[in-house]
Amino acid sequence: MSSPSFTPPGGLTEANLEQLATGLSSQQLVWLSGYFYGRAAGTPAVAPQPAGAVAAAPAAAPKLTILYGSQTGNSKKAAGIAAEIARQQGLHPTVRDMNDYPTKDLKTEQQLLVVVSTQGEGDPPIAAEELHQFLLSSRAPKLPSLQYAVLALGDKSYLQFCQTGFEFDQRLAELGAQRLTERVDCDVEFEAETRQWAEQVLRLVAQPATASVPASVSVGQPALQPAGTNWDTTTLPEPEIYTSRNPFAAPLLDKIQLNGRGSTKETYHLEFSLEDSGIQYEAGDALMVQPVNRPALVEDVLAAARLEPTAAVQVDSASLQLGTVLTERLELSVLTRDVLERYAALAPQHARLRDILDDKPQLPTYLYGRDVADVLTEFPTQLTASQLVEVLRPLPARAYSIASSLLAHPEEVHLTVGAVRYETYGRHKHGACSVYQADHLAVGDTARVWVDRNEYFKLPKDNTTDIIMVGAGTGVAPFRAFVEERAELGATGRNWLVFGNPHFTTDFLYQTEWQQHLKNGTLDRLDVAFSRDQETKLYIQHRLLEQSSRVYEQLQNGAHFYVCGDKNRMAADVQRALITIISQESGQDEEYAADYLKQLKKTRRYLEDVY
Amino acid sequence: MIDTKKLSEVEHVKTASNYLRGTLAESIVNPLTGALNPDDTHLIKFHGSYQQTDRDLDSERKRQKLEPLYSLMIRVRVPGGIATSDQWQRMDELADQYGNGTLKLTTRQAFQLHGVLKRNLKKTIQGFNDVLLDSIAGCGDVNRNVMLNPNPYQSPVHAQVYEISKAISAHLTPRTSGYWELWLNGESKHNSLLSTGGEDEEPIYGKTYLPRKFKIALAIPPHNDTDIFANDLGLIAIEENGELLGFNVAVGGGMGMTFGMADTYPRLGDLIGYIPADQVVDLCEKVVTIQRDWGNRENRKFSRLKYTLDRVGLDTFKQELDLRLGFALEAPRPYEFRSSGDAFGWTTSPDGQSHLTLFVEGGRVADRPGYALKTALREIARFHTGDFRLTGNQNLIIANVAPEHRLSVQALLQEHGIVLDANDVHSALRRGALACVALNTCSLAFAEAERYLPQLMDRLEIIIREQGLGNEGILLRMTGCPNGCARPYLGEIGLVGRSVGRYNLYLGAAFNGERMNKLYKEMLDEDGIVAELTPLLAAYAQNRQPQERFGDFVIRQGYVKATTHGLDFHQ
Repeated sequence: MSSPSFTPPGGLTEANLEQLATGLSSQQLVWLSGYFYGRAAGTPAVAPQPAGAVAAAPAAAPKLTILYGSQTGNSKKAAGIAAEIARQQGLHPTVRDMNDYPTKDLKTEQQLLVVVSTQGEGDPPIAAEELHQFLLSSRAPKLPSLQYAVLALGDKSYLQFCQTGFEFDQRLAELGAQRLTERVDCDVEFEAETRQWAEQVLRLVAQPATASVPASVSVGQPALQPAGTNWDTTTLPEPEIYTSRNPFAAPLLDKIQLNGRGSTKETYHLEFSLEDSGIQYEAGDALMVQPVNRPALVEDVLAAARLEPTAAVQVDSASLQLGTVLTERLELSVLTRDVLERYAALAPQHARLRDILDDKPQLPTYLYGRDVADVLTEFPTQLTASQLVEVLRPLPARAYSIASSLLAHPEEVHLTVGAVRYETYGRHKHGACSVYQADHLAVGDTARVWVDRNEYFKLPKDNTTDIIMVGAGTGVAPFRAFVEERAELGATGRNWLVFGNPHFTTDFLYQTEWQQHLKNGTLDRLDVAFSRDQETKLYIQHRLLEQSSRVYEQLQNGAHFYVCGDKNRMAADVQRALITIISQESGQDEEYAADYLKQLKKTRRYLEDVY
Repeated sequence: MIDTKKLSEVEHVKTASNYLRGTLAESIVNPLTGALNPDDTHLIKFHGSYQQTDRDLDSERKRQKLEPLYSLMIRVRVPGGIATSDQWQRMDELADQYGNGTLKLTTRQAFQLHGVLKRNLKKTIQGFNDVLLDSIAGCGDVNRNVMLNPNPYQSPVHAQVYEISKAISAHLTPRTSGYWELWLNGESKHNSLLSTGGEDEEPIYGKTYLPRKFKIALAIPPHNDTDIFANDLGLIAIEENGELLGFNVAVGGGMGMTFGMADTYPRLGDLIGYIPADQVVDLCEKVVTIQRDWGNRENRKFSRLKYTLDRVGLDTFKQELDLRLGFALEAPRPYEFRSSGDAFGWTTSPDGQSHLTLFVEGGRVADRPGYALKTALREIARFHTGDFRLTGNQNLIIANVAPEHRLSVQALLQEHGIVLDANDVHSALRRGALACVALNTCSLAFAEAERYLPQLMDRLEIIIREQGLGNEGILLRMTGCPNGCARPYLGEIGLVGRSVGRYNLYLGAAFNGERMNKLYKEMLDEDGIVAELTPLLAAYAQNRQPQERFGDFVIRQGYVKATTHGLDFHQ
């Protein structure tokens, strides 16, 4: 549910409000709020106030803005947490999305809390691109009266961890703004650190005069209303009952290997029960699944570390056995820079380890395909059980795009999981969570899960809007949810799926369901690219290019375009194909096409769920 | 007049098909399914192909949310069963490239490729078209592959009869350009009879072709390994002093029946006369056109010529035939068939060429551990200057081996674990046995046949040898359903699948293919089959008369009554 910001628009004064509110009971006040909300639904958006209005108004308290740049919705979520805490402290923050933030508004800010994530190898999220570019350019204004703080979100397994947050922080300081507090860089698990950061920074923010309302502050009305998405810049994430701290134990109802015999792929369809949990999700959301490590991997790590599984270690003020901690709490199958750094510090005799860490360009190559046991074996040193535990990072849950619609499957959630298995450095490697589900989890067992909202990767609010869904391999998962959802809703917009995988006979995931949807008219078109069924490899983007005029016609008609699957190759190839299509069909140059695509992204009609 | 409302579904499909095209062009390129449009599954048969699924995987794939593993079986016609080395090599290669890695030699002397995916169908057909083979009319309501016993050493008239069999095949091949249009980009390498330019025309078949399949076989006595009486039209070569004179004509044979429908039955052809060699192609056309005009097009279970004959009566049919021919058939000439099996091992013909008949169990040319038949034959085909002859009993003759190649052929086979003289290792029972494909690809099968028969045979061979019958030819034929692909009703022992692991046991057919068997026991499992046959074989070993065949023995002893006509098959 939305919890509206409590900052009156310009022109309304405290006096007006007092006049209105005098003598009213709290019940009547609540009624009035609903009344005005209802009226507002019919009125056009309020234009942002000109900067001059700020100076003209008597500023009783500094204006506090929480500005987020989000790709997956995590930064938005963090901004929401900060806003909630601010309100609890009697502050009146305005929460704004960088995507809709006119760069000229920067000069009007007084206290600015920036929450921004970093994508891939140090790039800003699409929503933050424009502001980021503007801020780093020579056109950025001096901001001597601005107070700010930055919360950076990221993933420590990437080399350029929290790079965008770092750049915002540095640049704002260069432009003369005063840093309220040190930047905080959060890893994948960000909620606890967000709270700490918000509490710290908000204590430093000037206390507002509770009796007066800052009339001068403009409302964060989006300058560009994204077409048909069911989100709202001031929407706060609904508090979840089940979270990483309190996962739901979901019983596995069914597990089906979706690949036919002889396939090189191993993809599972899993159906979990959510019965009596009250868990709600929307098509496009993800399910977090908390794995445990494979016994064989734990044994390998123990052997490489020359430690006993029964060794006692202190974790969260409890004494646990090392074997248990390694199995349930710590990441073993993926090696990351931070772990290697900490390990290197404890193993100074290995100069080569230091060299590896210092050779930043080559570091990802070293990390790729190695796990914790590989490093312990390659650079042996005697650690205590506690040291080992401190070196390692927490075992994170993995996110899976939900493959079902709650309308079609009440109280169930379905996933499409590709088992990751490979061999490197002389050992068999397994994706921690995929193989946990493939091998370890049996029907009747429970898995620890919770829902992770994907703020943007959602169906259009308007059921008549066309959608083009492009997914390779397990990337088809959210589209199963989309098509099911739209079938249940009786949506009339055209649903077009473009799917790719290696082989038709074995890898056509959910083939019979798609055939049924086509028959029922709940899927309007299905194009398939089976890359290895002919001499020259054929991929999804080739099918899009073949259907160039159809793609463009639907985009011109307002279609939403979704991409799900492999980030590094597929998503880039699809974007390149789209640029070719737009350029070709519009008769304009590539620059125009690139801009067209950028607008699609900005208006959230081009949406990615890539990994 | 025909009441079109009553016509069977397939008749409507044929009528609307524009000479066998239907919507095949679209079906073939639809990338979302391995199957054809439903109507096209009827039409594809005329192009020599059946749509099948891997039935072993049907339920597994259903759970996997995958459609059945559809593939196409392609039947490649080999008139008279004679293929060149080039043709053999190409078929071998196509089996690996697009098929399931094996070649099936059929009971009608054709090649079958199994497991060809829809997207590879065109490439496969083009592949064998390059070596002048085709699959048109391999299946469907038309005349199928024309059979002729292939033994080159047995008669000086073989070459003459072979030319006639090819002429019959060519004359009765559909003229539609649809086949060439769909599969060969409109090119025809070797069919001069194809209608060219303008409208398609089928002077013999007409737009709706025949009511049902039509089979022709020729035989040169004393060998009846083409089982001519099991065919709609059987032709028995009559020779005099090494010269071909003409043919005795038998009409109305056919094996298929349906369980639970006593008015369906297998039937052997009736001998109706003799025709001189130079008029035999015309005779074939006339028999075909009578069936075209008179056959039942409302219920496909009663559409074969055999039912037409029993409906109108043999005399009426003969009168019509004489009328259409413009003359009356002469009375049949004397002939004698002695066997319907193959003789294995090397033979040499008077011209000094050698011929090796190989036993191919179940007609399956494959590589198995210790038995690399497919590889061995491929190696031989690389230098062999003679030909390869497919027998009606699913076996293979490496024919016309040049004297200088004989040793190499022998060595290659031995190197790959192939028994040269099947008589040395296998019982005569195994050597003469036939089995249809059945599970896992045939959609009609109720029970296993080809995959299972070797296992049953292992048990039966023990009994046979215990009774000292290891070298007694006894015809055993097994099918997975009652439709009769392996001519089970001509088995001295016939096993016809009823359900998985259960068979009906038939006894009493003649060794030379001139009498059908009769139902002895129903719904037997493997132990039941062994338990029933053990005392019968023991009794045969003890009580048979000199030269008495097993099929004759069981009748003389009263185990079953002799079947004298299709109409008394069920009695």
